[in-house]
Amino acid sequence: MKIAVVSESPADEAAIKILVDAIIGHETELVSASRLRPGGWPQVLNLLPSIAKALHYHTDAEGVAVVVDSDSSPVHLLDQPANENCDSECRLCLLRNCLGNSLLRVSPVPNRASLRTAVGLAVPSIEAWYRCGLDLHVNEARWTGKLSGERINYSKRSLKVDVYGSDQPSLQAETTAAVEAARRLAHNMDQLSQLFPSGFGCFLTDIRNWL
Amino acid sequence: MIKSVHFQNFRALRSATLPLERFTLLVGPNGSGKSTAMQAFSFVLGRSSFSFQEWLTVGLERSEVVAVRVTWVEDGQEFTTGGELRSSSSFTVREELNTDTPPFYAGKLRDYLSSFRVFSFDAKAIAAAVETTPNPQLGEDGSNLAAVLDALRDSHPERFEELNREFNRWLPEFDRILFETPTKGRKSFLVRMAIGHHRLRASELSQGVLFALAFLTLAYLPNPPSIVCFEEPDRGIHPRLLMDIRDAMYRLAFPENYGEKREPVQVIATTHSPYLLDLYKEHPEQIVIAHKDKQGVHFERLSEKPHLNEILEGAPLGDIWFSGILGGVPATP
Repeated sequence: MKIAVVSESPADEAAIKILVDAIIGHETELVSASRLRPGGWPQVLNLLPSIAKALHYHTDAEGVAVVVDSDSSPVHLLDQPANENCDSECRLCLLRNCLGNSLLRVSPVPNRASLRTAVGLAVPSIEAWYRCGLDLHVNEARWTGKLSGERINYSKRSLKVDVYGSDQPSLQAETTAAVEAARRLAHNMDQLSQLFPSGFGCFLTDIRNWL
Repeated sequence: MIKSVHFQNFRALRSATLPLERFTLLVGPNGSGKSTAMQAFSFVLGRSSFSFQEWLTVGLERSEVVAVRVTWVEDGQEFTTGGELRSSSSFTVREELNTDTPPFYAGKLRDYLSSFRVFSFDAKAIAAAVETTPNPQLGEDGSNLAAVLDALRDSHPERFEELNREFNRWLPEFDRILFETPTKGRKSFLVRMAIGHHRLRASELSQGVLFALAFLTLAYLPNPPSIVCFEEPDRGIHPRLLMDIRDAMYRLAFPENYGEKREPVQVIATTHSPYLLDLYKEHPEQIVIAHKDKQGVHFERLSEKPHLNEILEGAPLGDIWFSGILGGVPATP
């Protein structure tokens, strides 16, 4: 299966590819145009329509997996009616709608099925996922509490230090740690899904729906 | 005008065709043959000192041929010429004129290619004092600028005044280019501050100011080279000035739009700047993407991508290119 991964960094991309392969149950192939580096959050949202259309018209990708950090935006609410944003700032809903609307408008290409999509939201950052199985205090429920004013014992910065040993890791160090964490998580999807039911759980369901 | 250049076993360009317009902006990853492509014209003219082995694509057998073929359009007619290099023989120029094409066009093309310059400015070279000589030419590193400006002032004072006005519009802190004679027979230039009229020597100016002045000077020459390449014209220039740099290049390429009566200059520019690329969103036919993959390097005119308008809708071209979805980005990271 050929896929594309859209994320905020090459390190994230490497980890997400491993997670996608684990969910699907076999190794996928990145399409040649999949060295996608939109940059941070605003660029991902701004460029996603262009990326989705280019994947549809110019590649044979069967699916696209998009994962971004939630940063300080709201955590996605589950059981949301289709095509409705749970919150105007919810990045998962924004990305889903953006992808859906973009792909609705493309013209059919002969012998090409619709591009399948999966959206994940790492709360507050993908390093939180990497801590799954190592620190049970890091989870979506806790972060939701923080957004409501509760005090918790971790931050985006402390997560980086915990995962990489520094809040300014080199790209190589970041990628090495991300790949190592993703390989470990590939055997622990259930716990990742329990601790991050919105951001990872939705992603897991989306990918499983590809099969 | 050169319509395309085809490369065979030419260093990084194993088999690639570079399409060209009157103005062409070439983007792609490092090592994708952009600078190599600019050596094509010297090769065709047999002017390079490189050996066969230095031209040949790495890893190929010595029995292969290194070749460049240039397709040129003039007066509505198209013909090709080129050069070949074999390990066993000396360089040969091959001309393939279309039937009924007057042979003098071949000589005309040689003259055209002979004027080709690849400009990659160097601040020290631009600022250096120079000997005054008749008919001075701007060096590819920007050297000789003082002499070129001095000659422009003497021979084409109205152009020199226009250049001063444009320089002041680009960089309002300066209002005039002045000259001094540091030693007998040598010339250097200074710029005058708009407020207070203090004078700054060229050597005291920033790299960006010197590059901007070199660009402007080329754009205002009465007889610029017929074909020029600018390597990274955005280098050292503030992003807000890039529109002016684009216009200076357009002034060379489309003189009729700027009230100029001279022949158009064919301009090729290379860049890694998403900001510069943004300025060409309305002209995808002027953008060529160099793709580098396992099969080698190939060039693609952006306007030839299917459904391009749909894809470019709503986002800056530079950002879309940087994302990688159009290609022409490094494989890693």
